[in-house]
Amino acid sequence: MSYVPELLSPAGSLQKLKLAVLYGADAVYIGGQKYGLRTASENFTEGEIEEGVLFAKNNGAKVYVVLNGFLHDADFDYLQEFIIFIEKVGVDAVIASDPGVISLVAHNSKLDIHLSTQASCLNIEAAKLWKKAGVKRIVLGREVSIESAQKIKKESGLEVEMFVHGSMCIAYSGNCVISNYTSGRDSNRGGCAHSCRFNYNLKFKNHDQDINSFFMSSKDLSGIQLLNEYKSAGIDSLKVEGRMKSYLYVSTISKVYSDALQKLKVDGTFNNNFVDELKKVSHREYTDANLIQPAGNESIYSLRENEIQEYCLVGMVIEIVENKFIVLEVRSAFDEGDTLEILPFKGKGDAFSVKVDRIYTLIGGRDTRTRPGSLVKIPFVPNVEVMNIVRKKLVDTSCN
Amino acid sequence: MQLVTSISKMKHSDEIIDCGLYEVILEHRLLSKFGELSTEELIVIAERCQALNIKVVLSWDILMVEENFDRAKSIIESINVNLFHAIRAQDPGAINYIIETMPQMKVQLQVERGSNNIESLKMWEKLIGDNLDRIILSTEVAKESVKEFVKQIDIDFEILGLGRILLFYSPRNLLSAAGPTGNIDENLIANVKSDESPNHNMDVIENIHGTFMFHHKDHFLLDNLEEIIELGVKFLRIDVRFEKSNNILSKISNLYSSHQFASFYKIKEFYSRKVMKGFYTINRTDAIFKKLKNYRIQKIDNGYIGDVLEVKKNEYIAIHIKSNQQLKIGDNISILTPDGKNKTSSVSEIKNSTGESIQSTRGYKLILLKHISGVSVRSRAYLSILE
Repeated sequence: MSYVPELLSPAGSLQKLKLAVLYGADAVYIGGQKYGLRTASENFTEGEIEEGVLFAKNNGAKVYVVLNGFLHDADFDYLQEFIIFIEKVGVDAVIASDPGVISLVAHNSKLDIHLSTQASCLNIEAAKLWKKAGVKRIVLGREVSIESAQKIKKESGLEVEMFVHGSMCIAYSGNCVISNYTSGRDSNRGGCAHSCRFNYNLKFKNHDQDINSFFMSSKDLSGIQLLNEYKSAGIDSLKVEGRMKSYLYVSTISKVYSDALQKLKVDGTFNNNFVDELKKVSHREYTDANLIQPAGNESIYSLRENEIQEYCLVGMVIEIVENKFIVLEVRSAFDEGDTLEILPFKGKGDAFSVKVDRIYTLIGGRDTRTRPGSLVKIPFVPNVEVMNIVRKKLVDTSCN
Repeated sequence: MQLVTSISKMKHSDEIIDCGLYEVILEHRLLSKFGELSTEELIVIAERCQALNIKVVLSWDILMVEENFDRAKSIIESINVNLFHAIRAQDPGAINYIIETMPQMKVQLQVERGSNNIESLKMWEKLIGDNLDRIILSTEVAKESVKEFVKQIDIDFEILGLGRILLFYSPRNLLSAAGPTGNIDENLIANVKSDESPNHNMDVIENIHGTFMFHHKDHFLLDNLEEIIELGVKFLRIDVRFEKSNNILSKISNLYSSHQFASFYKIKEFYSRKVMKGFYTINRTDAIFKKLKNYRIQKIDNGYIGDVLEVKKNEYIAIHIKSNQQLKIGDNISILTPDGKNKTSSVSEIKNSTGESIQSTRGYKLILLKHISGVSVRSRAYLSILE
């Protein structure tokens, strides 16, 4: 069987790590409590990193830890101990952008170093310099095309990783400090206020125009249609953005890309069903951004942040008692008689529908409608597993 | 300390050269973010500066994907680089290219953003080696950090004394996508504001290199010059490329050469834009992080059992056990709630999801305990080692 790139999924929490792995990620990237760019994400305690690594290893997946903030001197407190800890528990690599962090990792561990996209590595010469710094893999800037990525890999001798899916910085990564100066939040240490998603009034000089526009907001990247191009270019890893995203997102995206890559590996092709599946998670309009040609005007998302959502997360399977019931943790309300979809893990087939004809409370009473933040029992359904994601097609535009 | 400045347009060159600063940075339209000089203009100015013993630096500060890198290389190859004391670059690719192909050429590293720590600066020193001439620090670095850098690293540093603060750099053409179509030879400029942002009147420029946003106030450290000299900073950049007032650079140069430091505040009177010190005094842009999430429910590894997923008042609390820690009848537990309460209780009864009473449980099960007043969904449960 031929090679396909690694699928690297985001894991903002231990639960999301498990979902990503079970739904098909070959590797996950996680953050500790410091040093990353997602301060508001739940992130991992040391105990959770240890448990997450064990879970991933037992399921054949790798774990990379992000240390990709642009740190100030005070931020280095405890970093050395943390590096030693993550190496000890079996983390496979760190993702770093600050040369100081790269230096510290290289001097205190044998961990592989992946250069974060935050460093905006865009060309062959840059890759060569980072190689001298001890980097093993480059997570290329989102401005790089697949064709250029192939050249960078060949000329630098480094592994290359490219984004395949998710939200995009519209600036060169690491080159936007709007949050720092307007909100007092360091965007390069995890405090990005997403100023690029705001509505702006623009007064043009020398033009009689005064318009309102979301002119700095990018559409979301989707590279599903280009998996064959990534493969042909020998790209080592395909990264999905989104450590802050939902269980439904992590699970669906991991499964879709994993199944599509597997199909590509075995059959040399895949069909458009995978593209349709991606519409089932909330997203902005999709673009292939710079993957083939430099991103043009059509890559700007000119609408208010109101993501397109065809399905919502109803909940997750918490426990199953064979032939009796399934316990669901409810995230969005549903009614007796509703048809829900169960999303099976990687390699276990397509999503299947289940009509819920009865809903019970945890202690056995009948209910006709669930509420978010509760636990309910529904009748047993075969082929459902603990941690399966349960979703529902929306009849209107929002989950309730 | 020496003053340095940039020349981005031919028409400004005479006035700037006449100020007699130590060094000028020349900006080619295809190599520099805001450069408008052609190759011929660049050479003319460089030769003139050389004749006047003014050091000349070539700015190559754009970021480049491979195609743009090839274009930049062809420009560099067409220029007699011996006219230049150093090349100033931000893209690590440009730096590597200089090191590898022009071993005698000095590099002025423009970190722009990041490299705000000693380890990072040492790493650059190691990577660039003898070619490293100077590091141009980010405007995010506060004076206490600058002081430490100077003390601990034997490199010359430059900071921005006066000029615009670049907030954002994108390769995409964001203004022409939103409004009028720009002529490739004409920069599109817009003043932008957002009701969602506390800062208004930010200028945005679109040119052949992409789109750039600036803060509505400029960086002004001229009334701190004596302090900056004491810090050990060797070079101060006076960036008046976008300034409308006449003779600002000349006024600054005159005051500086006559050591009239106390008079520098007057420059503000002539300057056309509002100014600020940015993060020079202190940078606390991480102070707000602790408010970005509820640390009361941040998991603590020690003694963690699981999370409360449902509460039925006066009946039960349902806990999803998420550790291999055993929980049994008689154990004392602590439950930390999202609003910061620590509710403790002794476990008198455990039921599983089928309603059967059990003596103990371990690992990834759903259990029901007797209701504990004040406990809510999203609380975290621990064995009572927290007391």
